[in-house]
Amino acid sequence: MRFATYTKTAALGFLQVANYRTEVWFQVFSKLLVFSGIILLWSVIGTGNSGQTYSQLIAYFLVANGVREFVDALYGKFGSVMIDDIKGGKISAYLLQPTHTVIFMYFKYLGTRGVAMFFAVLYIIMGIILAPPTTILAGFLFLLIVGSGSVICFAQSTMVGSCAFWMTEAKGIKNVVNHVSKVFSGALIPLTFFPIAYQTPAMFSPFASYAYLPATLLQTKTIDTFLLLQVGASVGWALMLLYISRLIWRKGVRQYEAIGL
Amino acid sequence: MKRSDFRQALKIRWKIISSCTMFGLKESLAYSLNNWGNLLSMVVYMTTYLIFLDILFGRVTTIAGYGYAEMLFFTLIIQVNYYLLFVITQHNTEILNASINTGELDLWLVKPVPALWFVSFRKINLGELLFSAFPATIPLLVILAGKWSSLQMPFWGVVAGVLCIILGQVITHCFVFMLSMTAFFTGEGKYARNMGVEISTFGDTIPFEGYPKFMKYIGLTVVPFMIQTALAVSFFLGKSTNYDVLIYVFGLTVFFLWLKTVTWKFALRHYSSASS
Repeated sequence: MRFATYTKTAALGFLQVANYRTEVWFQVFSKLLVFSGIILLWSVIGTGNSGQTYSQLIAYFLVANGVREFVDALYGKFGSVMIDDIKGGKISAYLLQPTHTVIFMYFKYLGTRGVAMFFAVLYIIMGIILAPPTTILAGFLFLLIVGSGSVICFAQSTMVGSCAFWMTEAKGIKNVVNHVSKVFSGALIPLTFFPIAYQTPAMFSPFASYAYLPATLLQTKTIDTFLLLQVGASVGWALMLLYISRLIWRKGVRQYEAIGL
Repeated sequence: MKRSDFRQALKIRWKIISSCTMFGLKESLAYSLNNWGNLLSMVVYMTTYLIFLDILFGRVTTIAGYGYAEMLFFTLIIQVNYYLLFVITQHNTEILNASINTGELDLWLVKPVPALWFVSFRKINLGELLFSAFPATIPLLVILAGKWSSLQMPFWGVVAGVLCIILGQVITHCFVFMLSMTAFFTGEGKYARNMGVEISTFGDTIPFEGYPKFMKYIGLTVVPFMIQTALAVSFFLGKSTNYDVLIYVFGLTVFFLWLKTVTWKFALRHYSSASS
């Protein structure tokens, strides 16, 4: 199967959303509103105890939330789409196509995220302008982490979505993962604010790749061994979760009963 | 309107709301495993939120003048309001949007039922409220119970707070519903509705006293996002004592209910149904 099939599917998804222009503006306004909520909260809490200036803190949240949105970890909607497709039986048609089903579904969904991804990139750029990375290595590692974060989120959504093969409706499970990810990704509160005992496990969890790690990489002055270890853990998580998600998906498909098949 | 007609209208509306609630309950019970998932999700959310508060209060002593126990109470009211918004408004506006988008609304408009009432309360997921939302709030209530004595709650403040929650929910419902009605004009209103929900919960970000003056003004007038949570908690805890505001809030509720009806009629006139 040619890769162009997937990119065309993504383009079609984007056009479906872009057709409703007013909706695009509503989406843009919603994103601004969510972010202004975070800024408002931190303007009240203050930066006195964080050891960061206000602009550094804003830069952190811009990058953290930008990356989180970019990799789809904000709501993990790919998981919801997968659950709906399995529940509604749409997946039967996808399984018959000469494509890789999960990748086809992902690209179809990816297109609909065009506006959100564009806005996420804007957030990241604004964050970089406010607090630019100090070394080229930091910039390179940032890109690597965005890549591994995307893979982790894709694997997470596939695993959560595959639960629908057994449960039919699995959005509750999806929400569990989302809530945990929200706090432990560092998007709401930097992981350095956590009590020492919880800091290290949170930093080495797969969720750190969604927000804390990329934002820290852009703000750090030196890349030390501890940070490199976190990057290594993120790549490790990405490979391991991708493999596990594939296993779960295959097991789910084997026991899927479609009407008419 | 004659008294018998009025009674009949009330009877129909009660029948619609009770039947839809029963149907919603049965529907939610059908996916029992997911109900456990939802419960787990809400417990996890509550736990992570409490961790978030603990971490914050490890660094600061107050947030906008609210101590730890007061912030816990603020969280409780956020939860109550969120669940009410989710169960009554979010579900129904989501279905309304899909109905307009697919043309399914045509079917309901030709039936002899009060259409606005029906689409407003078509699905009330009582199951989610009883089996997920309420049990998930228990850990918060337990922690709060130990700190209850440190909360100062004047009697009239509690009355005003409860009224703010009820009236605020009605206003929020009307506000989100009106934004969802953009689907009548554009064919799709998913993000308009999402924006309505985001705006409505914006008043849950920080306590009332922490908002800048201009935001308080906006949040209590054209975009009423502050009434059901921020203002309500301020009354509950005796931080706001100007009860005259309640008269204004009542007036605002009546205005929003009127506006919702007018917007509905206007939107219907511009509805290009699937069959037309």
